Amino acid sequence: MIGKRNVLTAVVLASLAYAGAAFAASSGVIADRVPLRDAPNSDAATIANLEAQTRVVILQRKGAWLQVEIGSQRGWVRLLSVRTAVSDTAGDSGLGKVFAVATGQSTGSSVTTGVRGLDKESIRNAAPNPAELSKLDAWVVTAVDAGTFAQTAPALRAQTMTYVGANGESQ
Amino acid sequence: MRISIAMSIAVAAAVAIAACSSVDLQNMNSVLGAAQSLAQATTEPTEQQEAEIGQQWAATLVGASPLVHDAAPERYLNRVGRWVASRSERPDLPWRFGILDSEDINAFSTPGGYVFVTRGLVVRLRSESELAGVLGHEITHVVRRHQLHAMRTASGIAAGANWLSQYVPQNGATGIVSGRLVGGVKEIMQRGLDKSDEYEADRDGVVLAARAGYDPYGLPGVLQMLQGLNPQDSSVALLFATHPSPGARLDALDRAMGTHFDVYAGQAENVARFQSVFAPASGQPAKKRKKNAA
Repeated sequence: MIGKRNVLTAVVLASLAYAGAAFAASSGVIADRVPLRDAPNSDAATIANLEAQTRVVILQRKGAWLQVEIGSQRGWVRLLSVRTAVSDTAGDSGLGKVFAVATGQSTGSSVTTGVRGLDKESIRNAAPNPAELSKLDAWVVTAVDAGTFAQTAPALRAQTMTYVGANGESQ
Repeated sequence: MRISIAMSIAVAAAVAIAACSSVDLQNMNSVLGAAQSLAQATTEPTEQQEAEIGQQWAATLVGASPLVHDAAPERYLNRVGRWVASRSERPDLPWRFGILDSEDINAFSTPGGYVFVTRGLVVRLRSESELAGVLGHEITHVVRRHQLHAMRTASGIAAGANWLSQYVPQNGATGIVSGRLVGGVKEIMQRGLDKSDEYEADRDGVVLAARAGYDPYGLPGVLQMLQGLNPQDSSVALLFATHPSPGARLDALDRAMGTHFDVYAGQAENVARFQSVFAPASGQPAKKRKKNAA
């Protein structure tokens, strides 16, 4: 019974992760004091003000807004005002890598040869490999091909937008 | 005080006039040469020189970690990457994108248009818009020549205007591996680029994603994911050592993005297409996963 419920929870969490992509993690932390609004727009009424470090449950994302729950209150905050609650249980996946190899589970593509880091040491010891680099040529996409890709469903519509400065000023 | 400054200027002028009278042709030439070097200091390397540097830089990187030899994900990466790059100010560079076969979480770019993501990063992404955000960040480093900026800084004030000559053969020879260049790029890869350039790459990266028709909150999503990782994890050691913290980057993006991107927030995420190529968190290209699922 408990097992079944866990499976269900896992399914719900997985579908949440799909639906809202990045932001439907189960919980988050308010980065800086923000208004909690009753609709996902800046003109909506303020229900409460959330202090920095308030823990919230993330329900869904709508554009630049997240619907969150704090105790019995529900409302909307701007997406970038919420931070991921830093995991204190996650171990070093380096250990996980060792495990995967030890148990014979492949976590990599067909050419993986065990644990391979791309750290300072491997960079220091690297010898340039132009033959490996030339393999990229086989996968090159031209600007024309990229345009065709963008027009293929699900199509991508190009927009015109200027760059922004550090404080949001248009550049 | 003012009088003494005026006096010294007068003395200096007198000395200069005296010196000028004895200037010979050789001295004149060396003065002109110095002026020319000074002019070069503000001259960007040519695209040919960038390509030369980029090739050796990228060859060093794939020397540290080989590529994933699987055409489907590599092609897909190049399609998304080239499309995003085509929305930049340098659409015609010979852009090349590759997946490095490493568990570590990172992304790199070199002058001239080489962009790499590690397999460890790409399997943790959840959508094409997140990939587009990462690529937008790397493409910006190339478009704004951030790597060349780091090289110039690394070569020191003493190198002055001729900093480039340390790295690029001046006799027109191409394809020769330069020991100094390889040493220099290894140094930069370990130390990272200028921090302000990283923030700029985040700001421009979200704009490039939006221009390409993607939800611009893909890159913030990736930074949220990175923030949730244990910073002591060895797979993020190099990334965290060479970049501002994900939290600081999110704070900066919050200030920069404001409400300007709200109208684009409903643009494409393309979760399904992305996950048909990269199985979520399985660590393997989707071809295998599909077989398993069937």
